Amino acid sequence: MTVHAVDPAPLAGDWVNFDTGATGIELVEAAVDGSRLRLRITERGDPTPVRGTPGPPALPVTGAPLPAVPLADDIDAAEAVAFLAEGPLGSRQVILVGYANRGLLTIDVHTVHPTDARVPNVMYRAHFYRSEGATRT
Amino acid sequence: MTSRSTSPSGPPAPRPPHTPDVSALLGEWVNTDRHSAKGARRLSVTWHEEGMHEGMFVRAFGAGGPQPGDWGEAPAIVYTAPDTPSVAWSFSVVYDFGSRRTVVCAYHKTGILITTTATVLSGDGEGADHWARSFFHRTEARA
Repeated sequence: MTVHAVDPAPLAGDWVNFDTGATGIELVEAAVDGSRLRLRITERGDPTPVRGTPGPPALPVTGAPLPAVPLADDIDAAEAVAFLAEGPLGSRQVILVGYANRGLLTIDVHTVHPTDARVPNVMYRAHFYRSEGATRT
Repeated sequence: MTSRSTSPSGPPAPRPPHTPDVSALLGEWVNTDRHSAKGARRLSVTWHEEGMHEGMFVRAFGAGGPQPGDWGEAPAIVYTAPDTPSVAWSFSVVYDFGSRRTVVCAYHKTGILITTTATVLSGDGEGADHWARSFFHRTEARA
């Protein structure tokens, strides 16, 4: 057995945060990019709201690109049920772990502020539904 | 270098200024699914107090098979919840085995450590990039 690609198509689409009042990631646009996923992230309000911390607040991003690795449920499986995205998001470094189950996409958002150690790293969880419309490929 | 792990009932771990309280995350954790071949089977989460590598470290033990039994110890990044900057509830840690790179992310909730394990293979690996979600409880202290 050698490395085989995971089909990212099951995760493609526009994913909308259920919580319309929440800050942080509001919309994830996921498109197939070869054997990978290409995410575009849009945030609402303060993306990592931490009260009473020093330093300027991080600015929310709009349509920020972030590549993601599609992940199967098992080493023998072929279709994506999850993704891992790592990289810069605005002024922050993030790890996004997303996983879908029965139409619900949960993303664990891990955020580090590399230029200001006074600002604590933040992890929050957000839940998304797939927007009605065409699947992006 | 010294290290310490505590349970919630133990004394809080010493920590430098601006470091959140990591006590809830420290300790020995065991996967609730003892027959699972995915993800780690056991996690040892410690805080190293001295030296250049001060901070949280996580040693993971796998389930065998294609993954190594002992993943070794790696430095972790700790995270707080958005409205609780003084308390850490989450960490991430990366294990690089050459032909496979594994990212473990975890958060603590009501005594449970919930992890996601993402494994990305390179050209020398076998199978598909995959993930697992697992649940860990603390090892039981016995007199």
